[in-house]
Amino acid sequence: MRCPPIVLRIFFSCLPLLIAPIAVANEALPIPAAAQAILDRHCVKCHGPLEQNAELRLDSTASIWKGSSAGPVVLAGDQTGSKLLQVLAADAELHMPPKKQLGDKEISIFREWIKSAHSRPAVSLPAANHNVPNDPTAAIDFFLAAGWQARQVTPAALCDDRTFIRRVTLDLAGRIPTPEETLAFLFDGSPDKRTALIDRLLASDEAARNFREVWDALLMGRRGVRREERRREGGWHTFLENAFKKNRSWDDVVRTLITARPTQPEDAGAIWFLYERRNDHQQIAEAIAPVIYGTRIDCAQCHDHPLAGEIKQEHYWGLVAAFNRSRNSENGPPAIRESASGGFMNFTNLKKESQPAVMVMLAGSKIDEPRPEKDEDTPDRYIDPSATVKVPKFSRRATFAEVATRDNALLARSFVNHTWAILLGRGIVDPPDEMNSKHPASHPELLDWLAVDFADHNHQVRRLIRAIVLSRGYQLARGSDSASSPPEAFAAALEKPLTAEALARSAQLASGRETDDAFRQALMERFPDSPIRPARATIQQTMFLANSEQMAALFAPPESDAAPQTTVEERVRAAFRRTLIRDPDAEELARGVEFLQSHGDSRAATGQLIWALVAGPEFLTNH
Amino acid sequence: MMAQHTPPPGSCTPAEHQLHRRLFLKGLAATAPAVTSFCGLFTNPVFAESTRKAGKNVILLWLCGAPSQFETWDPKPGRPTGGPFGSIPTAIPGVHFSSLMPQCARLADHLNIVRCMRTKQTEHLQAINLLTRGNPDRAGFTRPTLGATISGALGTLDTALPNFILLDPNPRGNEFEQYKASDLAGWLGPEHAPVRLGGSYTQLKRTADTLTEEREDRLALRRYFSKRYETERNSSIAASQNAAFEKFKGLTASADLFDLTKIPEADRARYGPGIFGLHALMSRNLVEHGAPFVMVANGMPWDNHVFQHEIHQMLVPELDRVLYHLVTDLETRGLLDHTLVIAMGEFGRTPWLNAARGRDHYPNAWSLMLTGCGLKRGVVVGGTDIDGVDPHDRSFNEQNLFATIFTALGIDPYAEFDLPGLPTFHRVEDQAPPIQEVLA
Repeated sequence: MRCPPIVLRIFFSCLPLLIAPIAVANEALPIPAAAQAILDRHCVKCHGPLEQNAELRLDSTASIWKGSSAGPVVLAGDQTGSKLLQVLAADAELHMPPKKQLGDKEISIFREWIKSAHSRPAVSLPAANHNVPNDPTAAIDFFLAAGWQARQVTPAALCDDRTFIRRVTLDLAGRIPTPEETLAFLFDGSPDKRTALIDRLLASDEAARNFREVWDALLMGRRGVRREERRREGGWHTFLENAFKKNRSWDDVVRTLITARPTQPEDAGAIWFLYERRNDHQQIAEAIAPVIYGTRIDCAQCHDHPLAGEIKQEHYWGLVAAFNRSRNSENGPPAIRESASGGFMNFTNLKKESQPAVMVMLAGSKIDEPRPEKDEDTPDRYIDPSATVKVPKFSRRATFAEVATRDNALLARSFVNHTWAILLGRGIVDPPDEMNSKHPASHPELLDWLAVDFADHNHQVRRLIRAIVLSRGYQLARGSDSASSPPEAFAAALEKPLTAEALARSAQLASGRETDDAFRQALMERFPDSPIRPARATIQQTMFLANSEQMAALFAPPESDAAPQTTVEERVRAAFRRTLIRDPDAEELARGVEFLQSHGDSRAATGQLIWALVAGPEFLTNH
Repeated sequence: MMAQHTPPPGSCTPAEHQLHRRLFLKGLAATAPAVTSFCGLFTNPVFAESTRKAGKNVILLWLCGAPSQFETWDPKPGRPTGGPFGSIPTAIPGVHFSSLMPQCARLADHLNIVRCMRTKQTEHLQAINLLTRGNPDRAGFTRPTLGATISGALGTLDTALPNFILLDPNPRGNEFEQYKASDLAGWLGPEHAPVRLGGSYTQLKRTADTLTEEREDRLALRRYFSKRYETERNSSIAASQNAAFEKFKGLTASADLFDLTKIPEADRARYGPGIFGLHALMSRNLVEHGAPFVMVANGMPWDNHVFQHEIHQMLVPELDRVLYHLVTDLETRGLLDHTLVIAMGEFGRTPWLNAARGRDHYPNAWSLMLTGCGLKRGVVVGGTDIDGVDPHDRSFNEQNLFATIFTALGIDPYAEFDLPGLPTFHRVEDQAPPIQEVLA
């Protein structure tokens, strides 16, 4: 449901194939994304991973050039001879798609592709990988620069200090900077002040809270005030915040929440990932897949993924099997018990073929498990048969957690890509939780390099975040012309909507007033979007911003309406600095002055001026 | 076969999904389906254009928590399951309603009652999803709810009133609260999500700032700054936020429709003092002003596991009064011919009482009411056995209900949705037939 990726993206992902400098064979000519999108929508259901009518698959470059049992379906440069085009015609004898007629626009995309298939220019290659710097920030800059070169785009300049402090404070602390912080930063003359600011923010408690808020939304979803309250009471928030504060390695965090047998009191909340899902093992499987594989696998419940052929039904049920001996403990404090027996199940594919579900990883490895002849729940199968929450000697959960976090390169890739998306506004693979063959990376070498580096450095979350925000790519200004620079080039800053939490704190800072938690809750109800999904504005949000008592109270005039001490111009400037962390330009200043003067320059009018800025898109996004 | 594994409620079992997949893979899904691409479906379809001109509307009285069929449409007086309330004759010869519904009994020849609903979800959240989406919800492809579908099919994007209005003043409601917080627009996208109004959710009235007189000024100032930003930055987020503000401005122009002080006292008195009646009355006015879909709810009051008779004795007379006046008003004002009125919950209640003298969840045999919009009137569809345990012959499920609703509205019930990367969907799957008896 997103825009089809542009041609260059496919191009770039095929770079390894194009390294051979001469005579690229047909088989390696990439299919334009627009054409592949039409194939995916109209053809792949019968000519793809699930069914291969006429032995034809149209889901990948190689298979398209390979053709069907009757020979090639696409002849490069030959429109009349290409069978693919012949069958699309309205009067074709063997008409495709069987029940539909593709439009002229769609067919012309195919024509264009086939016509130009011979004359596609080769992409000039960036320097070979052995020049990659060791430092992760330098490596990011290296790979992004190579991508700009290959895409022939000019990156935006570095952003100014005001833009930078707003952007990085929102991303790391979850709020806009205060006027005092902004001033101090602007007057700081030291050359490495951006690095110093980043390090100060990363060490703050606010950064831990922000990390918790973002990852709580990603791991658990926003499910309302009551669940949030229970998560807090259950220690889930503490667990996530501690993970950040103590720089706990990400694989350890994930291992702990899958195993869900906390040994330290401060980890007690780690069980909440499973506990809140109340024995719904499929829901657990669907929630853990993006974390450990980087891709959602929901649709593989009933069949292999219809487009991303590597995602099989066995992977879905393998994840279910990892958890289906586990149940919430009904007695005593929250805990997840696990049975030593049972949990053997079969799943059935579309052809009604049945096979046993075993724990199999997306990368292919199977987890062995003892299968006793008599599967009885005997005391000798538990470590301590008299324990309140018994632990089996062979624990599927614990075994799976080990493999998923110690022998699974996808874990690091997923975290790197998600973190990139949170900070840059778009994943290297986008959407970040669809890292599969259907969603090519915009910068595959960068993703590979960062994932390996992250894993090699003990999955250190703060080190990764620091490397990204220090990079030139993160610190670019907003582009003036988005048409010339596609978002996946990362050649200019992308805009990201503020999360509800960041919005609540920032609105409070802009108003200079205190708010209560009800304000944050009201915003969370109206701005529920996930940090990695594109947000779209609703009337509900507008109603709240424009007309709620809570917003009105925030921007109401102070009790004493004493005459302002400063000039009208200064008051407008101050409003801009406080809310948007910048000065107004001449027109904005004039418009603001006019507004204040038309209301007798009252304090009430100043409040409304600030409101007009806070309720606007510049305030409501990070950019 | 699935051994030692029961799929959780609310998920499609592979067997069901398989049927659906097989149907479309083998091309048996429809004899002549209206094939429409996902993107094109709502922008330029012939059928929706004609429907739009016809000006059809829907009011859904969502009786959340699920009322008892025994104390409403399908009484079993004198039976062990029947409860303490008697039954009364209605305007339809031979048909009896609960004695708690005297006004609807008089109006029965204007109503249609389906007494043989039979569905498969016993838990609130899953059942609410089932009965408002017409199919079980599944992660990965969230089906739009009825209101969103109708917003897409009947609504226009440039009207003052939102296409899908949810009038529910109650911020709580147990599982219904979770439902309200979930994605109700599904793959149609947030422009078809409900605009929630009613109670403190109605934030259209001028707020108590000291510049009340100049409020338009404040919005104009905002528009100036944000339009500049949108243009200079070429910002898509700004564009959508600014568009939402413009729609909001259109909605504020209709603020009087939500202003309690503007509603005549005589009307208020007829619908009664309750908040549910007030919002039903509001829905009448909204439909009169062209709102395509209004859903009226009030938290989850009907889930009477405890003291069912006592609580129903309070709730049913209110429903009786509100429904009577709503249908009568719509008829008097000439709106009923193009307004579909539905009153239903997510399932029925058990024929037997539990230890707390409550009735528990019961999807096996239950009743609902729908009328207007060209449907026949005064039809009672199906029935249940002597104790109301099972439908006595035929039964209908959520798919039949949705096919009936779409047919009544002139919307193709079996239109296809081609979503990128997903199986083909239909508005109603499996070619489930509508309930013919009520279709004219």
